[in-house]
Amino acid sequence: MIAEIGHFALIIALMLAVAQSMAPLYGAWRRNATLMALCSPLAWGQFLLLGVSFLCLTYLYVVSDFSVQNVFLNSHTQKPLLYKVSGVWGNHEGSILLWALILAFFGAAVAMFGRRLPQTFKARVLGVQALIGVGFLSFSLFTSNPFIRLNPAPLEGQGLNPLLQDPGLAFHPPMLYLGYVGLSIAFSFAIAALLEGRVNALWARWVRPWTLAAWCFLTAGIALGSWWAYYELGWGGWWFWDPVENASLMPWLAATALLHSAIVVEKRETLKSWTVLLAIVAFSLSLLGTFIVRSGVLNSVHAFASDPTRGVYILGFLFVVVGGSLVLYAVRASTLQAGGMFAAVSREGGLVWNNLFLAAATGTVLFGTLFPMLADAFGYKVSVAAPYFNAVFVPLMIPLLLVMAVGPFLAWKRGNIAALPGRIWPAVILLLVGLGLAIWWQGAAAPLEILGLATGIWLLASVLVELAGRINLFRTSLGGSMKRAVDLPRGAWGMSVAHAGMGLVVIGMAASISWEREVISLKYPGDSSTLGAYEITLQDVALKQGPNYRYHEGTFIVRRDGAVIATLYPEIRNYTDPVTQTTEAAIYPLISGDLYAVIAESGANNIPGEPKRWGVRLYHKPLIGWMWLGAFMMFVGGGLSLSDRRLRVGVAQKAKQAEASV
Amino acid sequence: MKIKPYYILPIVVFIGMAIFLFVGLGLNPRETAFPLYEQSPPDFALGPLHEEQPGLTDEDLLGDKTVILNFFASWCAPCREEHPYLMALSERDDISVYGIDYREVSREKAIAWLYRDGNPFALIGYDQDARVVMEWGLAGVPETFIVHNGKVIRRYQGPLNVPIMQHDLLPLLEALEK
Repeated sequence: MIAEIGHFALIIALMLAVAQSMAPLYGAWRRNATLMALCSPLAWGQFLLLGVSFLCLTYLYVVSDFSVQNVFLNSHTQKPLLYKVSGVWGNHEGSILLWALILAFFGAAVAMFGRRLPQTFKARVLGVQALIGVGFLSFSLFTSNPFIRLNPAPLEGQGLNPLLQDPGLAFHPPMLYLGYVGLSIAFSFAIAALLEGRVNALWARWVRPWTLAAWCFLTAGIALGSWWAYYELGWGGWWFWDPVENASLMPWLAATALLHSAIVVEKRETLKSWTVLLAIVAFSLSLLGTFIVRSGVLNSVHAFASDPTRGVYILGFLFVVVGGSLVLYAVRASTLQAGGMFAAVSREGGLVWNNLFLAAATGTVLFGTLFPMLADAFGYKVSVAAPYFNAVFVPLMIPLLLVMAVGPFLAWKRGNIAALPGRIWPAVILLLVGLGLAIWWQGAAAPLEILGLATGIWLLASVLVELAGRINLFRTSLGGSMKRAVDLPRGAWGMSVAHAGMGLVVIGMAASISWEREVISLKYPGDSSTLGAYEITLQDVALKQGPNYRYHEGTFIVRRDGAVIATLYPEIRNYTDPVTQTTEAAIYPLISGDLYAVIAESGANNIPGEPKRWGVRLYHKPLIGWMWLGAFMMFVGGGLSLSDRRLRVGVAQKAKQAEASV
Repeated sequence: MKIKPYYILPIVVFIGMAIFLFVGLGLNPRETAFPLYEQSPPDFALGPLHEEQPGLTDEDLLGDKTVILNFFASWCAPCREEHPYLMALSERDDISVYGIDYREVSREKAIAWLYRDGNPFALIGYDQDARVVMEWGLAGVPETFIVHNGKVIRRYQGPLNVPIMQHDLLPLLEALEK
């Protein structure tokens, strides 16, 4: 019964989406206010119905109703409740339903927050949004229906991939989807603007908060996924340049570029057609990501069940949406008039460089990700792996970060390059001191790694110096500075916090790669290893029972100068449904960096009749925590910017009225 | 209405890409016939991963036993997934399991990995500049080839898994035995 309710709600949601994709667009064309006014209630209706549908599926998972095929294939009665719930989107059908739900959520959000948007514009935005909805809802119903029944109903489900049974990963897909799908709003705004033939400061002000929100979620989603890889795959790495990881990185890079070029449109009314193109590209890359993940054209660790029919469907959809919008762009982009001119050295100039580097980086990742398939089409077999990406991506990021550090010091329109040294010198001192301290603390490293580290410190230092300049630190009384700090617009704080976060991320990456220490060896219980200043003893390995797995738990005692400072408990888990072994790294965060321990059963080198030896891997990863902290700061910085008064719709409206009255 | 050429560029690029994506859909990476099918292995001679051990050459693949040749790398996550299957295969007497390690960031890491998780390979060749990998036409790591009577007869792209083992690899080895 519940499954049928969910199923019907999904069908009706599709019908509403079809209506929403036609009536408002037609109404906007014919200037029919009644038809245009339908867009908001339809968007709400769609969201509510999909909410019901999603709740039904969640309920089926919670009660383990194995008469539903999707639940049978992906769940199990022994699974903890959290993972029964996260199992809803841990599979193809459920994740597509989640995608559609989030799409409808954003549609409803536009209906609610966009009350002051001009009527035709809003109708067009929601109409385009609904077109995307039609695509995804029919994809769900016709190729990936989560509500199909099984007869007879099995007694037990097949279980969820244990690698996915993890709190980090439970929330990684929803975050990522909020980001992917959030970009659909920027896309719909871009298409609506092309239909209207008008892009202005006001448009940029409407687009920016949605892009910012999507960007925040993408940042959080990627960070969660990377964090999961770090502690769950037990490999000590956090990024593998896997096609699916790249699929989430590309929209992030494009969204970052979009965020920045929208500022130029807002402040200076220029870069218009480029910004519109970025909005289209950012969402197209989200769709492409979905295609890559769902169609199985590229081999990946993220082994979702793939199916060629679905691939054909998504490709067709991709072709219609992206192809259609790019044709529209080709025809209409020239109607968008460019605004003010600016000098090469200026804030806009810096933002253009930002866009160039980000676009180039996006292109590089896209090329590297698709190249194996491209070559395959010509009959060549090639592989593209980490060495390619490291060699091409990193050299693009370093100049980007350098521009990022200097840009905020430059004035709009025409920056004064001669005055730059006078303002930026404290950052140079901070850089030298920071780099000196780091090398004194950890010792020398390879030149490229030092360069990476220096770039990160430079960025962080310049953010601090720029912020200090804004609040007149040391030039006025402390109270005066405090007051200025409080009065700074949230957008300025947001930028500083997010840029500083990026600096921390880069420092964390560079330091943890440069100065990683590792010990890999076979140990009897009782053996010790030395890792830098730490002495780590494998005290014991015990076999224990978890909720739906059995596990070996190692106990490591960490000593520094003879005193015990921590105990680590890494695990090897053996799941029974399905039979899988996973490793759980144990991580102890110190101020200096993470201590990271993994144990493994060693097949080799065991001597019969003697005590069992265990494979032990221990790492000290200096400052790696800065990476997660930095990612969190980027998320917070985006949120701060989002709360800026300037971006609230009402304010934009007033600005428009002021503009009109001039 | 004027259409400037650079505004058309995005759609042109996209259409080109879409065509390749469509072709790519048809080329299921697991099902494509591969160029080396029923051919002799390409000539190669690789140095060892660990200095004190022998390397691997194409001559080694031409013995009486069926050879399972696995391309791997320590940075490759799916290689860890398939590792237990290779360990199990390495215990059989009727076949030889050889490995080619592809483009390591550090050889020590690879050696340490094999030392820790167990080394299924009787011989390992180390392919730093990916030349041999190209000759074999790899799309990525891991990949596994079966060489029987001097001919390459199977290719598995991606990690070995339960369906491949149960429905293809083990029955094939059984059939070759007879």
